[in-house]
Amino acid sequence: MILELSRIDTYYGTSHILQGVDLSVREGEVVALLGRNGVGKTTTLRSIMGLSPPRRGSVRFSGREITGRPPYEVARSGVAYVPDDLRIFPDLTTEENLEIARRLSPRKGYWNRDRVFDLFPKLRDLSGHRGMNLSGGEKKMLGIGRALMANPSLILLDEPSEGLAPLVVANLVEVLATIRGQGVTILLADQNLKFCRRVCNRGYILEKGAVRHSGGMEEIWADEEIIRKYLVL
Amino acid sequence: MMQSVVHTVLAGLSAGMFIWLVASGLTLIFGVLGVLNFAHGSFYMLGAYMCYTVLRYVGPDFWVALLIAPLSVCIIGYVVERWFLRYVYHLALPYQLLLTFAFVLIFDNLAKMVWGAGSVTPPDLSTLNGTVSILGRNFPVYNLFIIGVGPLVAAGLWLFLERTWYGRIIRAASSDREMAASIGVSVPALFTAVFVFGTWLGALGGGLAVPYVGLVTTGMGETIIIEAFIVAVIGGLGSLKGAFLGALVLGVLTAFGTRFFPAFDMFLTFILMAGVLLVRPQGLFGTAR
Ligand SMILES: Nc1ncnc2c1ncn2[C@@H]1O[C@H](COP(=O)(O)OP(=O)(O)OP(=O)(O)O)[C@@H](O)[C@H]1O
Ligand SMILES: [Mg+2]
Repeated sequence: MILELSRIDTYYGTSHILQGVDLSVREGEVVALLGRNGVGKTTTLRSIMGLSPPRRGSVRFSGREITGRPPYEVARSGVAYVPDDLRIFPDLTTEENLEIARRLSPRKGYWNRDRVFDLFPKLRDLSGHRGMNLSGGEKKMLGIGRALMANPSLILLDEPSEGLAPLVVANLVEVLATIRGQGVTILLADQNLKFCRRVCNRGYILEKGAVRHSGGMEEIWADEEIIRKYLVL
Repeated sequence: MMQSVVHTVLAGLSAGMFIWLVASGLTLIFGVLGVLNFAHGSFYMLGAYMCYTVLRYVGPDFWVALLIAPLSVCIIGYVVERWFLRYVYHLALPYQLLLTFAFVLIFDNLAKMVWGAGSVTPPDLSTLNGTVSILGRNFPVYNLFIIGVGPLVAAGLWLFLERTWYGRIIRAASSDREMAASIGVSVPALFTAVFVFGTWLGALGGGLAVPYVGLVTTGMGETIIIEAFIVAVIGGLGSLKGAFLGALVLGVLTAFGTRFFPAFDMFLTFILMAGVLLVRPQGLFGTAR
């Protein structure tokens, strides 16, 4: 297991958001976190990253306990986070957004600026543009590119397909396949079941801050009752 | 008339540079840490007292004092950030203001205990103590030097922030602390470093003020922090460019006020602040939040 969450409880102030989340991800897998709005998908990713540290329970990454470690340590140990709102550094150019992530990472590997530009050719033309001047779609590419620059072994992706046109989603499916082909493990939170079916092996379904169901993506896709109960509105 | 106007502008510019040195640290700390540091004026005051102390007890070499004094105040800044301020970042603004204001009182009283309640006068310095004739009237060389130091510090800061690796990290972290942490920036260490650097800027201002005012008092910190706050607000909180221009404008305006309308001295300043904020509530170079 590259990632193991056992019984984590996370709070925002006094609201008890995650209530004993258990999940695990094997090396090389692409795993989906599914569930309706507000069930705790983002909070789960933030808990792993150390941005919203769990109050109880344990997060293990690559066999090491990372619960309660600050985000920068989690990042340096090989976890990259792509938040749903992307959070591109507005003041830095595309190229600087990429370079800063590479230089801060102690890890070496396949990914570098040219390989990210090969993956997202559009970014090459934008390399001198400041982050604040990029469009939503461009920021999405840059967000993923910036995560890759650290050569992480695990990427946490929040809502990658949200707001993308079908054609762009198709492209994203290919991109994620390429990333996975380089041995990167991916845990993603998304509401788009069709998209998840195309990129993920397995899925966990959350409801009210706990895992209610887990299984292979095909199995979830075929289970109308589960879909009705936890996924569609 | 011409002579009087030029001299008033020059006097205003040199006064403005002191405001800038304090406002720059204040602005940098606010931009990166999100904390409004009331105690920043105390670092200015301590910089002046430490400079006086070095001059008195080590030797009357101003440049040596100017090197040692701000660095020694940095130690105090380090303690303040590392063991106190760090614990209130997650709290609401009033708690941060309360804590930094407590430090104003603490440092004031400490200064009174160490250096006495009155003012202290540094030994006579031969450093840059001549005058030059400008339009037929003498102007202190030291004040011209100060007018040069301000833009030098501004240019240095700009180069550091825009052209260096650490500057890039600071810009990234000040726009998005969480994301910076998520790509591997040790935010606590960065905050300490920025706070200590801001402390150094304030204390440098205090050290430079010693030959300028010729005496050191505990009250000097309060006067300057109020002006620096006004400048930081006019310029747009967090904007160094705004703080620099604001300091020049405030310095010059105050000089004119004192020279031509002495009765309205501070009044003009507050009119300026109110006017700017009415037109642009976020300040001249601030971004609306
Ligand atoms: N900063 C916060 N403070 C308090 N409550 C929060 C905060 N952020 C999220 N919540 C609450 O925590 C719960 C879980 O939120 P979370 O963002 O993890 O859900 P999500 O599954 O990612 O939803 P979505 O699909 O809308 O992104 C929600 O009820 C939300 O209202
Ligand atoms: Mg979410």
